[in-house]
Amino acid sequence: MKQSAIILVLALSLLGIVVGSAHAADNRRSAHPNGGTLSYGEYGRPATLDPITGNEMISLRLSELIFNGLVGINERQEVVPELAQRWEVSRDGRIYTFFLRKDVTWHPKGNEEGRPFTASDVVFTYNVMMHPKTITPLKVRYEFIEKVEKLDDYTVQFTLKRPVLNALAKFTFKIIPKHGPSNPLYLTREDPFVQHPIGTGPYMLKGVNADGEITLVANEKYFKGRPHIDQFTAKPFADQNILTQALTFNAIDMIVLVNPRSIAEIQGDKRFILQPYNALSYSFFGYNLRNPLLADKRVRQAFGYALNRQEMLDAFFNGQGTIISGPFAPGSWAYNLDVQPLPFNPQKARELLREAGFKQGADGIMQKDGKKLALTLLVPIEKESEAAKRVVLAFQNYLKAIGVSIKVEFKEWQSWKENVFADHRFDVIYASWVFDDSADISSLFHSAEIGPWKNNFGGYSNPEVDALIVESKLTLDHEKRRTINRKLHALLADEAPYTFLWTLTNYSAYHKKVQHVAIHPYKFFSYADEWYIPPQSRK
Amino acid sequence: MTARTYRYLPALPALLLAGLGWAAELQPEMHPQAQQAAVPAQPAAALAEHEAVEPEYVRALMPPEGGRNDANPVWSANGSLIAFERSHGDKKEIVIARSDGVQLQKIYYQLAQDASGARELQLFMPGLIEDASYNSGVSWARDGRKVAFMSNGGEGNYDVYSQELGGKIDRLTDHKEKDGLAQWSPTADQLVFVSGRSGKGDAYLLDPHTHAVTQLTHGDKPYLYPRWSPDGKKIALIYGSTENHEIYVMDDPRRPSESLRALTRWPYDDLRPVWSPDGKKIAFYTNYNAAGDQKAWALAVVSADGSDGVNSEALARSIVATDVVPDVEQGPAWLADGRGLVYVKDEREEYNPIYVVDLASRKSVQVKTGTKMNHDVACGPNGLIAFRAQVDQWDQIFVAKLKAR
Amino acid sequence: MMARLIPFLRNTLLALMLAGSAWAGAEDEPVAHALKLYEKHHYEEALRYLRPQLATLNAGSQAGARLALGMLCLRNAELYQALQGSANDIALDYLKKLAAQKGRQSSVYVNYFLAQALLAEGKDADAIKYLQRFIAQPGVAPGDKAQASVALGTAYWHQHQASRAQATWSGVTGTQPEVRAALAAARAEAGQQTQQAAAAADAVVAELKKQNKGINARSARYLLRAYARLDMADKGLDVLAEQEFRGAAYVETLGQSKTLSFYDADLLGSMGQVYADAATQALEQAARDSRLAAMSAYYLADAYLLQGNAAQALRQSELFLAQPKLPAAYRDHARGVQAAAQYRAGKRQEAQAQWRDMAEQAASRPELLAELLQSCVQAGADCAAHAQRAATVAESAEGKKFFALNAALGRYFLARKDYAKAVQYLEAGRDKANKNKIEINDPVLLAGLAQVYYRSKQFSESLEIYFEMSKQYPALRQMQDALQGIYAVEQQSAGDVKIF
Repeated sequence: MKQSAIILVLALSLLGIVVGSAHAADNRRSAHPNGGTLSYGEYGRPATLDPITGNEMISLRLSELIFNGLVGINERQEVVPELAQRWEVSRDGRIYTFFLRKDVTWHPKGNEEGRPFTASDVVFTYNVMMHPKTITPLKVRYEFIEKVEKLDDYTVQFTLKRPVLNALAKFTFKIIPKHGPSNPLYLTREDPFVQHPIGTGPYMLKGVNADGEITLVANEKYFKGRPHIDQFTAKPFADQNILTQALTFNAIDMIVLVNPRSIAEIQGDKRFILQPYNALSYSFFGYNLRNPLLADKRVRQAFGYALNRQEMLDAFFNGQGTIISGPFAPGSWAYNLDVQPLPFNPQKARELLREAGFKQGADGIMQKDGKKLALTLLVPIEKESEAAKRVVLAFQNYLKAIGVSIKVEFKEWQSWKENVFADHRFDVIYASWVFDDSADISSLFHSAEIGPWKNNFGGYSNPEVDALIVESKLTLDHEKRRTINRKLHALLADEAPYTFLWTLTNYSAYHKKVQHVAIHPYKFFSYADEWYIPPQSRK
Repeated sequence: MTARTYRYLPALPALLLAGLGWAAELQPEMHPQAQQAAVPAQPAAALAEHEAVEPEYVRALMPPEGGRNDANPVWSANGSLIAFERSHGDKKEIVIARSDGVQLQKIYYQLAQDASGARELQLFMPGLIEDASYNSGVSWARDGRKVAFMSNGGEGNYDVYSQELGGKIDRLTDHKEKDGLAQWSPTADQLVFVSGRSGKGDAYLLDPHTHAVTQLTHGDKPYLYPRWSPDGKKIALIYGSTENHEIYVMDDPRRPSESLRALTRWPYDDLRPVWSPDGKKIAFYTNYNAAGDQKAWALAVVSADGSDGVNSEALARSIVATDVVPDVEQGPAWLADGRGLVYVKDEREEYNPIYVVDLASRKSVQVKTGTKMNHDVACGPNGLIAFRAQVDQWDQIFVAKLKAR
Repeated sequence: MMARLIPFLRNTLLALMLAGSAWAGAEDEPVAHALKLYEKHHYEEALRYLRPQLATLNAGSQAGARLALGMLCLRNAELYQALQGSANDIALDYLKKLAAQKGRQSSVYVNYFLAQALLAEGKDADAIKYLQRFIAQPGVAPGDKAQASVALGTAYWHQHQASRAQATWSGVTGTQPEVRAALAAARAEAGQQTQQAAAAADAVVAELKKQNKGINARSARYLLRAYARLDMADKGLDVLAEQEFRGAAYVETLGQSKTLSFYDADLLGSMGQVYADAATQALEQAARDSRLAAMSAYYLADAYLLQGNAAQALRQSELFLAQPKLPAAYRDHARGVQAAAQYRAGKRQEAQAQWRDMAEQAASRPELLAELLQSCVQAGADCAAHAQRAATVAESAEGKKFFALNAALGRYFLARKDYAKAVQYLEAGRDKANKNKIEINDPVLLAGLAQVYYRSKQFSESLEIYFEMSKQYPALRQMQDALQGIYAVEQQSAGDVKIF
C-alpha cells in the first residue's frame, strides 16, 4: 500500500534514508445519493464550536464536521492527505514540509464568498494554539515543534525540536482561518469565532436555534466532494432517558453515546443499529501519594483486592466492558497480557493492611500510629452522575468491609479539576482517561509531570518508571518500546498508583436508514461525509 | 414524624382488597425473608434536628439478591399488588407481587415461546434457544386485574400488550414503528399510548377490545408520556424534541386538536407530568434553576387549568423542590392525599435520599429509609411508597410505609 | 455453526430416538453441566470438566457422555480451524516485520520461528533459507539447533527429497525431550516410522511424568503435533489437558529492554486436528447406543465434513435426515451438510439441486438461507447467485431473526476473501449489545470478525475480540502477541489523552 509505505518511510528517514514523497490528492467520492437530513442527540451542550478552545467530546465531535487537519488518519490507520496534498520529511526527521491543496476555500463568512485556504492559515493556527493566552488542551502536545514557516502561499514547513516516532499523525490538528477570530494573536472563549466557526470541512454552521439545536449544512464546495447528507442537526438533551425515547419514537436518528441502561432497550428494537466503538479508555481510582497513608503500596494494593470489579461492571454497566489490569486499554498494543487483574479477595486485602502496620480500632476502622485509615474520595459530576454514584457507593462499602473509611465528596467539574490538578487536595479520585490511538501514558506517571495542571496528579514518582518512560520515548525500535510498555504495565499494576477498573464499551445507535456509517472511536464524525440516506428512506 | 412540617391525612380504611376476588386471599402477611431483610429504622432522637421523618417500616419487597436489577415499581390502585421490572443482562421481565413480597407471576413474553418442544432432548440440541425479550412500562387497569405493558416479544418490534393476571396475553397494537408508554384510563376501558407510526412520537387512544386506535396529536415534534387525569377526562403530556420539552394538556380527547393547550412555555426542559389525585394540579420535573445548569432538576407543581400562568415568571414560582433526581419513567410521586410529593433528592454524598415535600409550606423533609441510591418512587394508598435502592451493588425494590398522624 | 438458531417451528414434537425413555437422569448431571457450558461456548472448560469424569460414570450414562464429549470436541475443532488461517497470516506478517529489522538487537530466533510459519504455509524454500541462517548463527543452543535441523528435514520432505530428509533427521542428536518430541512430530507428519514416532512421543510423555515434571510448553507443541498426525486423539487430549498453551514456545532476551516471544505457528492447526479426531471417535462411540444413534449422526456428519471425509459425512447426514419429525433448525442444518458433502464427494448436481430446493423453501425462512450459505462455505463452492439473493433478503431484514443469515453471509464472503463485504455482514450478524462476549456470540463468528478487522487494520477491534476469547481459549495468546507487535509498528496517533 503506497500510503503505508510513506508511513514506514518516516521511521526509515530517521535512519538517514532520503524521503521525498508525492501523494495523489484524495479525490474519492462514491456514487451514493445525496440528500436527507440526520439529527443526532447529545447528552448536553457543547461549550464551544471551535477546535482549539473546546475541551469536551461534544465540541470535538462537532469540530470534526466543520474543520480539517493537514493530514487525516483513515479507517485503515493510514495517514492520508487532507489540506496538505503531499509532504516531505528531511533526512534527519526534523523538518516536515507540507504542500497544500490549492482548491480549498473557507466556508463563507456572512455574505462574502469563501476565501481561499493558504499557508498563512496554517501558521496562524499554530501560533494561536501555542500562544500563552490561548487556553487549550492542545498546547502540550505540540511542544515538540520548534517553529513553523510559510515558504510560499501553498507550502509550509515545520521544524521539530527532535525526531519523534509517528510525528506525521500529530499534524491532524484542525486548521482555523486567519480571518476567523477577531483577535489576531490568541483565542479565548470570549471571541465570537468560537460560537460562529468557519472551517474547510464537509459541513458548515448554519445556525443555533432557541432549542439549542445546532444545524450544519453540506459544504457544496468541499474539496473531497460534497458530503452526501444535506444537513446534520445536533440536538442537546438534558435527560438520558428522554434521549432514548426520542430515538425510538423517531424524533432523532442517532445517539452518539448510548447510556448503558438503555442498551438493552435499543438493541431490542430492530429498526436501530447499535454500533459499538472502541475508545481506548479506562476508569480508575487514583490515589494521592502525598498522603502518607497512601504512600505505602501495600495499602493501595489492598484496595485493589477489596473491590469486586466484575460485580460492579455487571450491576452498574450491564457487563458492557472489560476488567483491566494496568494502565492501557485491552485493545491497545501496549497491554501486557501476562498481568492479570487482581482477584476479589478481601481477606488478602486485610492481610496487606496488617502487613503495612494497620490494626483495627474499636470503631472497626484500621489505624496506624494513632492515625485512622480514613480518606476522602473526590468525584467529578461531569460524567453520568447516577452511574458514578453507584460506583463510589460500592467502593465505599467494599472498603468499609476491610476497615477503611471513605468520605465521598462530589464536585462540579471545574472545581474538581482545581482540587485534583492544581491544589492536589484529595486522597482518592474516581475518573477515566480517554486516549486517542496513542497508548501514551508518559504524562500520567512520569515524575516530571508532577505539578500544577499536570497529569501526574497523584504525585507518583518512581525512578524506574521514569527511566522506562524516557527510554520508550527515545527508542526507534518498536519491539523495544513494546517490551518497555509491558514492563511499565506490570510495574504500575504492582505499584498501584491507581486501582485500574475497566474499559467500557461505547455504543452509538442509529436508524438503519443511515448507510455506510463508519465511526471514528475518538472523534466520531471523521467519515461522516461518506454516510448517506437512500431516497426511499427519507422522511 | 415531624408534624410541624409534614402533615399526612388519616389513613384510608383497610386495604381495598374486598371485591378484588382474585387477590382476596392475599391478605397482608409479610414474607418471612422479606421481614429479615427489613432495614432497621433510624434512631428517633436525631430526627427533629435534621427535619427527617421516620417511616413506620421500610423493607425490601423480596429478599435481596444479586445478578439482577429491579426497577420502576407500580402499585395497583388499591395498593395490594405491585408490578415492577427486572433486568437480567439484556432480558427484561415484569414481576407482579403482593405488597408483602410474595411473587404472583412474571411476564416475559416471547412470540415464539411455545416452539421449544421436548425438554430432555434439548440437552443435545442446544441452539433451540429463546432470544432476549424486553418487557417494560407497566400500567394497571382500573380493576387491578389486568396490566398493559410494552414488549418486543423477543423479535425486535415494540408493541403494547395486556395481560389479565394469570390469564393470557393479548397483543393490543401491531405496528412496525414503536408503540409504548401506555397508560390505562383510571375510569374506563381505554388506553392512551405513544406511537412512532406518524413518523415521530404522537399520542393515540386505544380500545383494548377492538384494538382500534385514534390519533390524538399531530405535532412537528414528538408528544411523549401521556397521563390521564384521575377523572379520566383529560390527558397531560410533554411536547418537544430537545432539552426544551413543554407540558401540554388535552382537555377533551374527543376534540384533541382544539382542546390541546400548553401548560408551560419557557426555555427549560419540562418532563413527565403527573396529575394530583384530585386532578387539580400537575407535577413535573423541570431543569429550571438560577445557575442555568441544564442537568440540575427541580420539581414543579402547577394548576392543571393553567390559571397559575404559563410564562417564565409564573412557572418560576411553581418550583416546590430543587435538586431533584428525575426518574422520567416513573414520574413525580403524589401522596394519596395530594398534599405532597415524594421524590429523590440529588444529595450526592447521601446517595439519593428520599424526601417528601409538603405543598402548603413547600418544606421538604427527608424520609429516613436507611437505603441508598434510591430511585423510582411510587406512592400507593395508605402511606405506602415503593422505590428501588442499591443493596450490595444490585437494585432491589423496597416498600416503606409513612406514618399517619 | 449454530450460533443463534431461532425457533420457528411451533408445536413440533421431537419424536427422535429418545421417545419413551427419557435419557436424562440424576446420574447424568455431569453431562448436563458440560452441555450448559457448551451453550455458553465454553467448550474447553466443559471438556476439562467432563473428560476426567468419564471413568466414574455408570454404563447407562456413557453414551450420553460420549455424545457430549463429541459435541464439545467438534466445536473446538471448528473454532481452531477457523482461527488457524488468521493465526498463520498474523504470525507471518509479524515475523517478517521482525526479521526485516537489522541492527545490534536484532533477533536470532525469528529465523527459526519464521521458518516454522513458512513451513505451515507450504513455503518450503523460504523456510530452508531461514533455517539454515538460524543453524549457522553462533551462540544458539545445541538443542535449538537440533530442532531446527528437524524442521529442515521436514522442509526437504515437503520438497520430495526423502533421502535428504531422512539423512537430516538421522543426523539429529540430542536427548532433550523437545528434540525427541520434534523428531517424533516430523516423522509422524511425514508418515515415516510412525510406530516408532508414536513410541517416541509416548516415551517423552512418560519420562516427563516420571520426573514429575509437567509437559513443558515446547515439548507439548511437538507432542500435540505428533499425536494429531498419528490420529491418536485421546493422547492428544491428554496433552491438551496438561498444557493450556498460553505461554510462548521460546522467549528471546535482547539486552535489558527487549524481549521477544515466539510461538509455534502450527499449534492451533494441531489442536483443531486433535479435536476433530477426538470428536469423530467419541461420536462413533455414542452412536453405538441405539437411543443416541441419530443424534450422534447429526454431529458426526459435521465432524466428518470438517475432516474432509465427504462420504462419511454424506452417510451420517442421510441417516439423520431419515428420522421423522425433526426440529426444523436441525433438519435445515443437516440438509446443508448433506449438500456440502455431496459437492465435495463430486456429486455436484445433487448438491446444487439441494441448494436450489433450500433456496425455494427459504422465502419466509432466512435461517434456511443461512444454512444454504453455510453449506456453500463447507463445500468450498461459489454460490454467487444464492449469496446475491441472501444479500437482498438481508438488506430488507431487521433484527435478531436475521443475525444467522447475516453471519452466514459474512462467513461466505470471508471464505471468498471479500473482506469488505465480510465485515459488513459479520457485524450485522453480531449481537452488538454483547459485542465480544463469547457466551452470546458464536466464537467462530467472532474469530471471523477479528480476522477481517485485522485485514482492515482495525487492530484494536481485533485485539479486543481476542482479549475476550483468550479468557476461555488461552492458546490464542500467540495471535494476540503477534497482533500487538504489528499494531505497535502501524499505529498512528496525535498522542491525545483526556480525563473524564
